[in-house]
Amino acid sequence: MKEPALIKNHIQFLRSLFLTNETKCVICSMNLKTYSALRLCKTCTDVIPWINKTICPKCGRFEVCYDCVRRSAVYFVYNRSAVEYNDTMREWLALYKYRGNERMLNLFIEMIDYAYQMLLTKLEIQVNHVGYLTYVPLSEQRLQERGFNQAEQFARGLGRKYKIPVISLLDRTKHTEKQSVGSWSERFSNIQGAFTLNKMVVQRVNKKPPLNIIIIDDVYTTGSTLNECARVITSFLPAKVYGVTWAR
Amino acid sequence: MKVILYAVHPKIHHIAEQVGWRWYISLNMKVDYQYWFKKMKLPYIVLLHPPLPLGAALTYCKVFNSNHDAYTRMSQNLKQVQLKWIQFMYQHRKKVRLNEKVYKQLYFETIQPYQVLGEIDFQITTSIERKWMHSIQGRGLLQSEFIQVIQSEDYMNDSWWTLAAQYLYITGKVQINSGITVCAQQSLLQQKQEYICNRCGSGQDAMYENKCLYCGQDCIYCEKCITMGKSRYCTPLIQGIKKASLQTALQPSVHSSYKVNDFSHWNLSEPQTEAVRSALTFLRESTQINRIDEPLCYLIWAVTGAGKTEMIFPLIEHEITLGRQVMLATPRKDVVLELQPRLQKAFPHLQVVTLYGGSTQKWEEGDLFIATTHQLIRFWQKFDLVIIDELDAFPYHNNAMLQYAAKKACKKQGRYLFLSATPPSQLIKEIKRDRLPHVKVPVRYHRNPLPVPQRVSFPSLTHLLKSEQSFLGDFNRLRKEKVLIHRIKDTLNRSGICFIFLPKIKYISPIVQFLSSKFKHVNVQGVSSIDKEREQKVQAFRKREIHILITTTILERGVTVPNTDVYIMDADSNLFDEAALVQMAGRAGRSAQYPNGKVYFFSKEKTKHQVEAIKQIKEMNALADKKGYLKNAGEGVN
Ligand SMILES: [Zn+2]
Ligand SMILES: [Zn+2]
Ligand SMILES: [Zn+2]
Ligand SMILES: [Zn+2]
Repeated sequence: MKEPALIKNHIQFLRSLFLTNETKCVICSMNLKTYSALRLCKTCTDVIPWINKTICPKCGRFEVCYDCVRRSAVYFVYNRSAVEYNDTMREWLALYKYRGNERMLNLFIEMIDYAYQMLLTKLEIQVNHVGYLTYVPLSEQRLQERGFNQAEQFARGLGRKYKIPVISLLDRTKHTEKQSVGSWSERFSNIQGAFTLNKMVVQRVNKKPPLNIIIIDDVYTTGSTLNECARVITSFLPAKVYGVTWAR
Repeated sequence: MKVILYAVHPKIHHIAEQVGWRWYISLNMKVDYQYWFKKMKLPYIVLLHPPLPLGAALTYCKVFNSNHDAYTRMSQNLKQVQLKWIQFMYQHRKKVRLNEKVYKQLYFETIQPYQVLGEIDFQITTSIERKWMHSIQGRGLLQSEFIQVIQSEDYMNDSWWTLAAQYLYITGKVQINSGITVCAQQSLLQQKQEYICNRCGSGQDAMYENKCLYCGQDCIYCEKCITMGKSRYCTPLIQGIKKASLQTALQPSVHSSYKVNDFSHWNLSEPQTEAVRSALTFLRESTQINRIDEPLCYLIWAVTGAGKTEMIFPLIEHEITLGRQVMLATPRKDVVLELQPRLQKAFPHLQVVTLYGGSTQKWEEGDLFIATTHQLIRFWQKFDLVIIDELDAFPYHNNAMLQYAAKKACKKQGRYLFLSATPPSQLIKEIKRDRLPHVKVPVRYHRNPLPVPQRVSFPSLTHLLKSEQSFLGDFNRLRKEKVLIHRIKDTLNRSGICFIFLPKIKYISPIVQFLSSKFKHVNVQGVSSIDKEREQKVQAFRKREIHILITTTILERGVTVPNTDVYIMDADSNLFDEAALVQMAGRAGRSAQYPNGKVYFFSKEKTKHQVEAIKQIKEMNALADKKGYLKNAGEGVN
């Protein structure tokens, strides 16, 4: 039997009250018929290149890793990334980071959570042993251009989810060029001295060991950014530093 | 961003006959101090602290300016008036999205010239101003776009653009709007806030709320137009007001030598000529009709292959010689690139600007603009004539954002010219009610009738694919393919090419396989929107290297090859509406050499869409016959 038009309209009206954009796929705006934690349709969910095997135990790479071998001094304990940084993921990040579509934030937080869980598994530690989350800062100029720091937003999202304090431990003093240009060694030297510790924040940190600090970032390229951040932190604090990045 | 809100004292406000306070916003107070104190010699202005998010400041500004009675009388003393203002702002704080913390800090300060004279240290020459207006007039630019335009040459420091924007605002050369505005709307259950994107016209559905670095509170942005820049509640949208005098600046010599009825140099056919003549009559008469706010519309309904591009030329010529600016918007970038040299050649003296994603002429000013439809979003009341090519095509059809953009790009006194072979149903309705002036071009330039589709009863592809057996096996068993094979053989025997349309990509490869097995010496190819070799295949098809091309509706327009027969499989699919069927049928019989192509609707059901499509084609043929346009009148008409 067909619903009478009046009832149908009524139902439509009620639907319109409760169903907002949250029932649409964040990426392609297709209507979602079933609940999805990532708020993605099946097609978009299926293209995510999750990293589910790690070959390099240090940085969580899914293939044989030369960066970690070449690095003379490593200041972080482990890094884990959620997905492989392929063209699709690059596109997604660009939509969020450069176009500024912040609705995608929850998607990224849910995804980076996967990397966070991998790290915890590796460490065999409890959630409550993670003392602080921090993030790779942007220079003031970048922040003004973009309006937000993606790494900070990821960190705050994870922090909210697991009730871990998020602190702004680092400041960026050097406006470094984009990571993708230059040779490996250039990139490496470029990043040195780019960060300083925020003294005010350091004072408030509870230094009682074991002090575990996780640095959050969007993309792990060679690890030199993470390593430099870890170097600065460990030179002032008796901490073990880990990295959780969305993609690599 | 945050801006200053201030008011100017009424009694000494001798610009207009207005009594009452006038309210303004400011991106850079230096400009306002100079203007009010040095130029207008006012003794003081009243300024609100602290700065407010742009959207909030603009809303207050608008409300204060339109409520003279309640908020502008000078009978009370200044302190009392200011108190009333603050109370008013408090009442409406939710409506303008002002957060509680900011509200508590609000206070007014009276500023006198001696306090700020030291700050007035800039100069804007008329030549700089003219240069700015040259690129800004008739455009609606977000802050970042405005900065690109202004600072290209005159870059001084980071806040330079605020000085420029404020100067143009206070002198009435631009309007400053916020990317998003709030308006209250009474809904069934409660009064709720509605947000509208001033840039693309999107409503509530496209809005996203989050914390904003630039205004320091919860802000809203529009997701719909975000790929062309982020439109926020606190982002300025700067709209350059177009001076009326600019459009009437004619070149008298060109004008007087131009005779409206003489366009023989365009080599048009008689049906084309007649259509151009009625469109010109519309263009001329529309300027004499007094209208307030709404541009007028005109439709050229030209069948596929009528040569509509050629008909645009004399119309553009007419407008340009009167010193008017014309926009030609088309859905596809390749059409923009193809039209540019043709139009530049036809009008060598004109500045032709082409706009598409990645165009290098993004901010250039010109006489004639050719743009992809999305580019319309960056214009604001600029054009006297906006020509919209293939009105019914993707991405324009059913896209409220692009329709809004097209509406905004046209002057209020301007006109639209729509071109379509298959106008959308709303327009057809308007035509039937006699509310849309239009002209039909019912015949192709070669003056042969349109091929009328023949319906062939055939099982549905879905059914064939669903059955347990392989597609090929089932096909063979049913022996149904005979009808299809027989007709394809017929096409190939006449050295024709088969253009086969399917409703879904997934059917392409089984059909390619099947036909390759049946026609071993013939080049059978499939092409879809996700095909990486799409361009190469279309090129090969054009060069007649492919004899059977199987595709979806992506090629329903644009691609035409002489001596082609059109096969539409699953013509009863709901993915093929009347317009799509007419467009696909329009690929057949396009060349003068082979004007009698065949069109087949292969389908299980005889649906309304198929019936209507055939009816539309027959009606056009009958009209062409009646007007005496057909080459051999009375012969090939069905
Ligand atoms: Zn999706
Ligand atoms: Zn490694
Ligand atoms: Zn918008
Ligand atoms: Zn804002």
